[in-house]
Amino acid sequence: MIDALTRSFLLAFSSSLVLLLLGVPLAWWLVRYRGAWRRLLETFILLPLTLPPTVLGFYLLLALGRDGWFSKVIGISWAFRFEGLLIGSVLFCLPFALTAYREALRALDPDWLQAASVEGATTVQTWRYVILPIAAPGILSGTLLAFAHTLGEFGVVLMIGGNITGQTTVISTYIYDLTQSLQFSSVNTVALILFLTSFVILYAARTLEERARENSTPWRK
Amino acid sequence: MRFCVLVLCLFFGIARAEEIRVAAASDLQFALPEIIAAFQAKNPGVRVSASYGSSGRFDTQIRQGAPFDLFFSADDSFTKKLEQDGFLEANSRKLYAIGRVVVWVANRLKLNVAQLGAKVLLDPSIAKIAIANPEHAPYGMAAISLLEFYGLQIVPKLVYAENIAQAAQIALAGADAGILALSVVKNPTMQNAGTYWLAPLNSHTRLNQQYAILKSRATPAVRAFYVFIQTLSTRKILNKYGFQIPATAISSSKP
Repeated sequence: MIDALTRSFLLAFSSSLVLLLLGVPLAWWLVRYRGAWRRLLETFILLPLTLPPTVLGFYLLLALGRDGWFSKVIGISWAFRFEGLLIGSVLFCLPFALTAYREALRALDPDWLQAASVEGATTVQTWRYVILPIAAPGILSGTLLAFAHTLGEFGVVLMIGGNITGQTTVISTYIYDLTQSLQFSSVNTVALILFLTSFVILYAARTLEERARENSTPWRK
Repeated sequence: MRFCVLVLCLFFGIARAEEIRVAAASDLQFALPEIIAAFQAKNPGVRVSASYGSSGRFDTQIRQGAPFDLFFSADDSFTKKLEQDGFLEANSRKLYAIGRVVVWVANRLKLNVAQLGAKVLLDPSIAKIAIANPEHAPYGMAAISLLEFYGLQIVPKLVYAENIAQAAQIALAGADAGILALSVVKNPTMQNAGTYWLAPLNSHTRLNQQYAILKSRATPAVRAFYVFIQTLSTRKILNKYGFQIPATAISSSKP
């Protein structure tokens, strides 16, 4: 149980970190960019929302497996490994995180950005003193949602990780194993842990979202 | 200084337990942990971790490169095909048990399954019967052949599970009955909730359960566990959990 819990939290932490580093610049670009490719790209990113996780997991398995495209082209075979779980989780959580990031960045008043550039602020300074202070609650709430979402994900991690004991078993697939070995009292314990964790995370995300809304209404400032 | 290095080497040599990864048919869910515990007690420094699922699932995973050392199938068809396709160590495919099939009925229905046998499944009070998915689980294939053997046309009542352990869980939690593995229904939780009838060996496709070492995985520790499965003490454990052991099975088996 400790093994699966540790792996789940490590996975959730790494996937939200990757989403933060990748997703915020991507969301920034999506908010600014007006070209024809934007809608197409956005649609692709939103696909995991509607596709069954098993479908995403299945194609990732094909891509990252022993005879997959990645292993043929660049020699990477990440199926049944933590790296595979991470890629699956990042792709699966991308729509959730990105939507939150985009809303947070869209709430920025263009006048402030212009003011910053008129004052001669560098890009780093603009992010540090204008963008992040305003968008931080929204960004943080999106990251927290991605964290909670990764903890609860089942289909993708089952397909790409294979639920291999001691290697790729995470908390959701561990519960699946426990029900099959008829250990219902252990199921209750683990489910309770997961329930409480998710509750705390979602409550924090909601709190941050409300703060983000306050930030985006300038007359309250 | 040299002494310190020696101590460190010894320490890490002992502390770093070698790990063996086993993919096991889910009818081994209850027996294998006891076998593993017995093996680890005799081989400190080796850790065996087992994953349970349908044999068909592991067949797919092994072909995709899943990092297993040994594969315990619930029949001999998957191991044969894997050997043919070069996924197993040559000549490592071996029989370890014969799987037995039972018809299990929940106590609340108050049906005498011991007396009625497979025909109990025709009883109108049974609305749902859980079996393993015959597409990829040997016990599911055996269940279908059992229904054919007794001429029971009850396919609409069937509920399919990914593997035989999940079929038992479904039978326990939602369905009224199941065509399950003896090694699963002997579990106390199942014993308390229902009764079963043991199907004769000739009434269904034979579950010649084979195991094998995967290609290039035959380390000394893996070999040791492989041999341990053939020992008398392991066979006794398997037998206790409801498997027929090969010695008694081979004489009555078809070629």
